Amino acid sequence: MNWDEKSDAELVRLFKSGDTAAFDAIVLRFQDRVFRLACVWLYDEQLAADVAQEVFVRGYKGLRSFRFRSAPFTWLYRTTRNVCREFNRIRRPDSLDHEPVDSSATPERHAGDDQRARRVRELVAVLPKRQQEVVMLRIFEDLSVRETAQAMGCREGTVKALLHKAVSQLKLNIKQTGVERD
Amino acid sequence: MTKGLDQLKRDYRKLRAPAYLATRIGAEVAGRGARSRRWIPVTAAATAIAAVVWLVPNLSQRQPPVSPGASTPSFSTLAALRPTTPSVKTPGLSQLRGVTMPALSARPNLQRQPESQPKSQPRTDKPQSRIFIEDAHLEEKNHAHV
Repeated sequence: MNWDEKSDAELVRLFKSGDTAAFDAIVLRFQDRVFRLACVWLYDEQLAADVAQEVFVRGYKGLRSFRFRSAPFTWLYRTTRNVCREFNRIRRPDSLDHEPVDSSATPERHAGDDQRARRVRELVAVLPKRQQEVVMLRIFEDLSVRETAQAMGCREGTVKALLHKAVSQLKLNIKQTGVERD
Repeated sequence: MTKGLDQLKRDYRKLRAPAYLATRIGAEVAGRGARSRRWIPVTAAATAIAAVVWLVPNLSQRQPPVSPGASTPSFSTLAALRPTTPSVKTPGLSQLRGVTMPALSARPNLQRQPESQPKSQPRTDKPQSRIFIEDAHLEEKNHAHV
């Protein structure tokens, strides 16, 4: 079966009907997105991999009762956010808006990836927590305003307002740090 | 969107999950699934033991087999039932008129006094009938009027 042709909802529907291969397809489709979110929030790629694993393990159980009131990624996003908070609570008392930790010492990752990750984290981490979420969902993950609102559990107007503030702040940060290339 | 923001998005999107992640997730899911199914053989064994414990005493006290006819009849069967009429016929009134009753014996004369008993016989403590007492009472009254 060609899983790439299936929509997210179709994959979840197939998984709900007992097709475990559909779950593998869900993992392959969403693992990068879940990992990236966890990377920005946790500042640690090893921990981000652990978070992604935990998210999908929960998804294996939770998506069986998924009711399609929102997109499957919305469910995964919320689970990722919750798991990141749990990991942060265990690791340190502060939550998501903490100073970035340099993870360049991680041997498994390439230096280029580390640099990119550090740069994104540095620029996004200075934003307030809600603005971080809007930037990651609306700009980085290309979700619609409606999907972003569903994922964050707020109104579309709130998303637009947060996005406006976040983009202005982000542009300023890029200019100040002088990392704008080209 | 500025170039800086575009570049940031590209950098973000270049972040990839490690290659081993999908395999690790698959193994973890399979492991947790197997762990969650560990109770099945234990429960099956416990159920089998409970069934044996329950069946052995019941088999030793075997009840007589119930005939299939003893089962509860259905409502349709009950509705089809008709009460059987008795074979003995009640006699008609004309037949009853022909029946003759045997003649009753003559009515005993209670006023008659037994002649065998003497009048001067002293009274005893024997229980006497009320008729004789009344006769004696009348005699005494007559004697007083004389």
